[in-house]
Order: sequence, then C-alpha cells, then structure tokens
Amino acid sequence: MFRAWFAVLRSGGHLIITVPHTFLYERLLSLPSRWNPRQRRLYTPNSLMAEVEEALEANSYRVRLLCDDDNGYDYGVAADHPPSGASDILLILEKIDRPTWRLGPPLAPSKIRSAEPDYAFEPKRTRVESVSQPPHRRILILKLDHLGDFIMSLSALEKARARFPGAHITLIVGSWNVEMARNSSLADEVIAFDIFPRNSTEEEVDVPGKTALFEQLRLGTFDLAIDMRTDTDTRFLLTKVDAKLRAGVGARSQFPFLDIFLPINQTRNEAEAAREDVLRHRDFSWQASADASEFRLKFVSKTIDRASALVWGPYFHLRPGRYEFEPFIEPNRGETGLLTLDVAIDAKPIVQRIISPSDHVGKLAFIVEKPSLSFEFRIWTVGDAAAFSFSFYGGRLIREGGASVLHQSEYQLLLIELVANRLGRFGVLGEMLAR
Amino acid sequence: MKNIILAPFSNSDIRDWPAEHYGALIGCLLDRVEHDRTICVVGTASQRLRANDVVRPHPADRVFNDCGRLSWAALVEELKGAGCVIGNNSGIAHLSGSFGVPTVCVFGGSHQRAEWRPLGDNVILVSRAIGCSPCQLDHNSQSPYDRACLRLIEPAVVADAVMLAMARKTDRAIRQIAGVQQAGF
Repeated sequence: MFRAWFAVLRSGGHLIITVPHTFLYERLLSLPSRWNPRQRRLYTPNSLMAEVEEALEANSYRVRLLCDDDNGYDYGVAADHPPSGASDILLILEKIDRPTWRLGPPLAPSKIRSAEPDYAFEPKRTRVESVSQPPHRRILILKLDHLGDFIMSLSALEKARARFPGAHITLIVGSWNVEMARNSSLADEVIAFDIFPRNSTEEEVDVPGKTALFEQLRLGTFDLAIDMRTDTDTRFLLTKVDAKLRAGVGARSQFPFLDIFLPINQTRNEAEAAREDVLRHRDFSWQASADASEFRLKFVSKTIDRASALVWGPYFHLRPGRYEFEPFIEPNRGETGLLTLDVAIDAKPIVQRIISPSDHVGKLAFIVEKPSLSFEFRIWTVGDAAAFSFSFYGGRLIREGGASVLHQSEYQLLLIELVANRLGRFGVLGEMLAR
Repeated sequence: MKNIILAPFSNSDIRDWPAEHYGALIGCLLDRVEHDRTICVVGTASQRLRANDVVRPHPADRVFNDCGRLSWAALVEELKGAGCVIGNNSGIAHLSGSFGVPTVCVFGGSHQRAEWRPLGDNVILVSRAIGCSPCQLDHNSQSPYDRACLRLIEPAVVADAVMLAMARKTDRAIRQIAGVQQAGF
C-alpha cells in the first residue's frame, strides 16, 4: 500500500501517514485490537519505519517527521477503557529524485574480466544435482597381499559385513590366506588368486604380468568393487572388474576410475627419521671476548664478559615440529665452573641446562608449535659462579621426520566406513538437470 | 500450506547468489506454487536492509522479510516445518538438509561442492561448471569474474529445482504410505 500511495506523488511531494500507536491506542503487545476488530497490525515508530524501508526504495524519499502524537491524551484512563485524545504515530515522507549512484556492496570489484574461464572437461553450464543411494547387493573385495596384511584387514572386513548386511560379498585373497578367509565367515565366497609370490625374497614380484590370469577368473558383475590394499600397485585390477562402482585408497588424479577414493596423506612415505642441519659457529653471534677462528670460538674464563650472553643466534625461522639442538662444545676439563645453555623461541627461553666442564652436553629438545618462530641458542654465565674456558664449534639442529601415518588397519577401516557412508547416508552425487 | 524459506546471505559474500536473483526467484515461485504458500526471507538483523531489496517488488501478504525477527530456536522450528528451503553454501542449507526438509543449495564456485555440499537425501545442489573453481576466495570484491559461478545461475533453473525438491518430497510421502521402497531419485 505504501508503494501505491508513493507512486502517485511527484518529486517534492509529501506522504503523510498516521497509524494508531499500539502503546497508546490498543495498549496491547499482540492482536486482536480491543477497539477495532479490523486492525491488522500493531505499530510502534520502529515497526512503522521497518515497513516503510521494506516497501520503498532507499534514497527515493527522506523522512521529514516521525513522532508520537499524544495531543490531549489522557494517561489516567484505564487500559480496559477506550483512550481519549490523540494516540497516533505521525510520519511525513518527502519524495525525492533518486541520486545517480546506488547503494551497493562495501567494496566494488576493482577489475572485472569479461569472460570467465571454461571448465576444461565439461561445457560451461549450470548443474542441478542430487544424491542417490546406489544398490550394493553384490560386492567384490580384493585383499591380495600377504598373511600379516590379511590379518590387519580383518577388522575392516568385519565392518564391511556389518555395514552391508544383506550383500553377497566375494573376497579374493592370496592362496595362503584362503583357509583363514573361509573360516572367518566374513565373505560369502572366497576365491584364491596369487598376484604376489608367497615369499618375495624367493620369487620376483610381477603384478602387471598376472593381469591376464586375473581376467581369466570370470568373476561376473558387481555393484561395488573395493581394493583394500593400501599400496597402489593392485589398484589397476579394479579396471578389469565389471563393477558399477569402484573404491580404493589413493588420489582421484592417480586413479581416475575410482568412484569412491580415500586420499591419504602423501607424507605417509616420507622419512620417519629426523632431518639434520649442521650449524657452524659463524651462524651465531658472540661477545667480543671470544677468539674466533675459521673452525671455532674460543672463550677463556678470565676474559669472559659476564654482563652479556657469550653466544647467541642464529634467529632461524623454524617450521612447526619437534626439534633437538646439540651444541658442539668442548670444555677445558682442567677447570671448574658453570655455564648455562638455553634455547629461546621468539626470545622466550623454553629449555635450559646448566653444565660443568665434566658434563656431557647432550641435546636440548624443544617443540615449535607455530610457523615462522625464531630459533635462538644462547650460552650464558651462571649468576656469581665462575665460568670455565671452552670452545664452541656450532651445533646440530635435528627435526623429526614429517611422516604422518596411520596403522594399516585404520586405513582400511576408514575406507570401508567411507564407502558405507557414501552408499548409504551421504549418497553419491549425480546430475538431474543441466542447463 | 508450508512456507518456502529463503536464506540469501551467508557470512562470506562470495558464496551468496546475487540478491536480485533471489528476488527474481521469488517472482518465479509466486507464479508456480500454490497461492496459499508464503515465502519468508530469513537472516540476521544486520541483513535486514539487504533483504528489503529482495522482498520489495513482491506482494507483502505473501512475501515476508523475517531477518532479525526470529530467535534461533524459532528459526530452527520454521526450517523443520518448511515446504522448501533455498540457501547458499552456508549454515541454513546444511541445517535444513540435515532435517530432511527439501533444500535447494545454490552452490558457488569458491569451494569444492564434493567437499562442502550440504548433506541430506532431499538436497538439490545447483552449481555452475566453471574453470576458475575452486578459487577459495572469501569476498566478492576479490573475484576477477564478478562471481560468474553464481551470477550465471538463472532464477528459473533454481525455481525448477525447488519444484522438483517439493515434488520429490510429496512423491516419497506417497510411496511411504504405499509401502514402496524408494531407491535413488
């Protein structure tokens, strides 16, 4: 209604609106009105303005007056009696010429390119997709590796049986695992196929060379085929199986034929061992009392300046991880005295050790929890205690390897859980319409 | 007759189907759904001004701006009882999808839909096959193609998806009553 009234105004014209003020007229917080059964809304200045803002375009009007009109209103009249005096809200809007600019997002795109890029594998189009729960009545599971591998897969096979209760499961295993597989009752049918030699030290592994034999198995058709091996060398066998869906561990880019894939962390095969950085003495800073040569810093106890650190630095930025620093310090064992060694991260000491000349210096272990923190190793004197003479050659910084591995059983449990969720609860995304 | 609920605003504007498209969608739906269905736009109080632009062209007795008017608990109840919920790649679509309510998610290209799509067996995803996705950007102002992944999704296509989602719900209800097992779509 606001829009209709407003439309007939000229620029500079005024729209004057008065509505009953619910706090003065109805004296209610909800309908129906006591005094006017046809009253469909309760108004306050706030709710009236909300309707105006909703109905009229911004900057097509200005509010010239908004006020409560209680002229002559008798506040002494009880709420169950009709009010006396004015009990309205008065609103006056002036129509204005709209400015040329429009309200918009806070930041306009700085530079818009004319055409968005093509999607390389499909024509540009709008996809309308929904999920379905594909049937999985006939399931093939490949578990072709060795005895220990099969034992580590038992919990995943149990899960498969539990998550696909009505399914007929065919399990293909190495001949050495057939008896255990049959005794486990985890499959309805167990088929032997030796794609690996039983003992790899006695016979060469030739997985691709067994492909033709695998194809001769004449397995029939399946709704779902799963390769449970974590290593990727058997995954191609899924392409030799007549299955509507294929599932396994690996990246989609590596195995484009996989419908359901469990991408595992590529650090799985990274070194588990620690990595080393050998730091030379020249990577650090030192106080002027030191005698610096090409190979070492030599400190003599009598000339050490006790007011400052003896060695500090090198302020390397370290990645998060577990570290050890092993300083190369050669004490003069003929002296007595003490020194403090510490490691500081972003100038905050996090590990400290006090040594005497007879101590084995060992390693200072610490953890860097956030990226780009500054590493510093320092040598100090200890309070009023005498220092001892020593040579400093640098040190060895050791970072623990980055491998993030799960147990083989866990990979396989995750794979089965993923497949079960995808086929059941989460569904497989498929296109319904394309425009 | 149950409401149709629109949640046009996420917490990251690059994921928002343009507000004018939502406005046009309302126009399409008013022509196609039963006349006693109402359409509500939901959001926070701070999104109310933007929602005004979405509802303004439409009849005030069928299209409501409820941004900031519903408590969280009331909104959840509204979603559970909705005839269909239309939203972006954002929380409301995830919530209504999890309730099994017919949900149409207009999914932008900033993220992988396979990774972030709302789950639910009555969720329909509308997205654009486009070469710059996923860009992982957060703000529309950063998009070199002015959110082409969303801008090029036409309201009529989303309206088709809404009608489909509501029809599937009805179809499933009939099948359930008839005791027919439903598999897939």
